[in-house]
Amino acid sequence: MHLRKIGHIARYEYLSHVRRWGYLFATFGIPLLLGLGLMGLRWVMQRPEWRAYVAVDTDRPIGVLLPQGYQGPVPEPFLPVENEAEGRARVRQGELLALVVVPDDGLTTPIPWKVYTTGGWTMIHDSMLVASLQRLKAYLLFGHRLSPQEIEQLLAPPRMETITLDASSGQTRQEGQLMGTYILAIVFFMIIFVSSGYLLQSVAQEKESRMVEVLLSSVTAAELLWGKMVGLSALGLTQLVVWGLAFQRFRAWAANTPVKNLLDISLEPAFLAMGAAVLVLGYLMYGLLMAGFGALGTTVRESQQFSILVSMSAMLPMFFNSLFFLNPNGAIPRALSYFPWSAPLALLMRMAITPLPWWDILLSFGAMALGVAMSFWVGVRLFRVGLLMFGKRPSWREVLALLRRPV
Amino acid sequence: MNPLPIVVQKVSKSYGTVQALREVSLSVPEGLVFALLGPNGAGKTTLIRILMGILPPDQGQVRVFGKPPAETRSQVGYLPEERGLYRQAKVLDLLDYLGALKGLSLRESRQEALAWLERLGLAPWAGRRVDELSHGMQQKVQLIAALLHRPRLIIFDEPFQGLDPVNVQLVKDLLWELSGQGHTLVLSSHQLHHVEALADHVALIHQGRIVEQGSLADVKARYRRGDVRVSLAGEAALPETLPGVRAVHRENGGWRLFPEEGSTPWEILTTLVHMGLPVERFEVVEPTLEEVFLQAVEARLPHSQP
Repeated sequence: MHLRKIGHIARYEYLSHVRRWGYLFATFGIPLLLGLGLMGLRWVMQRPEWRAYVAVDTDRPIGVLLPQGYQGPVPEPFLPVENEAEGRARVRQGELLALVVVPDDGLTTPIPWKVYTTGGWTMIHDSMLVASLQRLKAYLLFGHRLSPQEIEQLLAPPRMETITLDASSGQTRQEGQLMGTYILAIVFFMIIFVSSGYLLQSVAQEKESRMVEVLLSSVTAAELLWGKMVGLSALGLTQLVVWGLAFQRFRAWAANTPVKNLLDISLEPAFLAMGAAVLVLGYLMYGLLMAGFGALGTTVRESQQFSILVSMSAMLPMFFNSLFFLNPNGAIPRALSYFPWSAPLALLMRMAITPLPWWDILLSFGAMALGVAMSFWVGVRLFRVGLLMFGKRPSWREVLALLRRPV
Repeated sequence: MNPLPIVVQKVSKSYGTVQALREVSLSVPEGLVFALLGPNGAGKTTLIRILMGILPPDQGQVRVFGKPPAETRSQVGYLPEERGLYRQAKVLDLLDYLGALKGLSLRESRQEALAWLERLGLAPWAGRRVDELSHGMQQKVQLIAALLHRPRLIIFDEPFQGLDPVNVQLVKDLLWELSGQGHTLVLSSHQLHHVEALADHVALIHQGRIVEQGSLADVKARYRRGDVRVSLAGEAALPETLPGVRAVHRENGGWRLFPEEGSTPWEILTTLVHMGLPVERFEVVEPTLEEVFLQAVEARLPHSQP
């Protein structure tokens, strides 16, 4: 094989695809839209209405007429008033956001609590008030006996740290890392699949445009295949780098903004390394098959029909998403991570949810290596034989016959 | 001594149960125009794909300039029957790429491409996308792609297919020119009349077998039957039967006479003159390649074999 020719093909494939609108949109448009979305969200979260929703408008307290005899503390944003008339007057003047009148037997009977508001009252205020009234109720019930700190303790949900114990590894996964690794798992898989899809499209278009024989008079089928594989993998890597850089940029920009938490994703280096290995094996496995199927059809559409089996196998773990979350080491998630053509996504999803023992990962990588070998055998044969078949789409029976034919 | 551009020895190839080539042997001398002729499905494209190293033979040996075809790709130009271009690519970018695949540096490739585009009147289109070009222009770009790397041997598979008369002439002129420059050309076609004026050597292929080959003059001589073409002055007409002639056919305003076995053109002319017919034109008919082909195939059909 001539490496120089492979280089030329890779370069041409990369440059001709990288300028396409679809690719440019996916690579730069998606981060751009995400950035615009974050900017929009930040703008919304900095609006007074939003602040009222998430943190209660402390500038404008809510008046409360307490039941007779209650001497305990009241939580923010409530401000006790002497009587209903005074409270209503202060609401009208805009001094209070609203006035809540707690009936004397309001804690023991279903009698409604009156809430006086003005015209600017919205559903957001309603939601905020419900949450605040829960707190007020707790104060009214326990304020005689407990300090505000104790009541706050009572109201606060317990802090959790979910730790997954595994008999063989004894490793743990922190809750905060789950989101990051899971998103990265999906991104890795998308990169693999999108690049393989480009490969199918490129081969099918070459055949459809009758360009393939011109190329085969200059290079071997193997050089053409590897040139495309390299060029289009670079396309996927470019996408990954651009998305990664955009994410870093967004995170730096959002550091001191209300949207900070949305981008607070932590990643384990070990997961990144495994992900990179899956990326390579997965791309080889799907890419070789896609190239083979791309060569079979007489049009891009026909070639895509052949590739449905591969796509379905690859996406299979998605259909069992909830099973993966419930028990990532259950029978189905395990089986899917040992079946070569579903292994990349299944392994990434399992690794994202829980740390796996080494032998489990090794088995899955073994399955993927086997998948690469089988895809190589099938893909290269279909590619070499299919490239020069013009005019008719072969049936599945004919495809099997092609696989038996010497090349 | 330089090795011959092409030597094919007992090459066979089959696709499943279909035998595409059966022990084909031929050789192509340097600097000549060699025509590989036969009907659709005769095995021409399969043989050419084997010559280009695109397909491997099942049996037999192929040498291009004394080496396996895969090693001599940079010395061979190829215009395939199934040809096309990347529709969205720019003309010059595409030619740069194809030149580079043939072993040219990007700079050399660009220089050659610009020179060819200029020569074929496509220079103003160099920066345009292929799908903006007319069909004829695209054919020219395909020709340039085959010639860009200055190949010693150029193989054209059905070069006239799908061309209008203007472009047929353009291709013919180009082939004459390339031939005049000493390139070895292999033309494969089922349109025998187009190739007849160009070829020095021919090989006729039928159902995967070479049924005849040699220099065009020799092949025609082997199949010359002594038919004569006669034109008479004025309103004169030939009788339906003539001594020494087995059939008389009207043809292009004159007559074509098919001699009996052993009868010569000279004897026929003598007969016509003795009959007092006003012979205006008398010529011995050279068989066309189509006629040669039909005779060669007929001679090898099972019922005609001894």
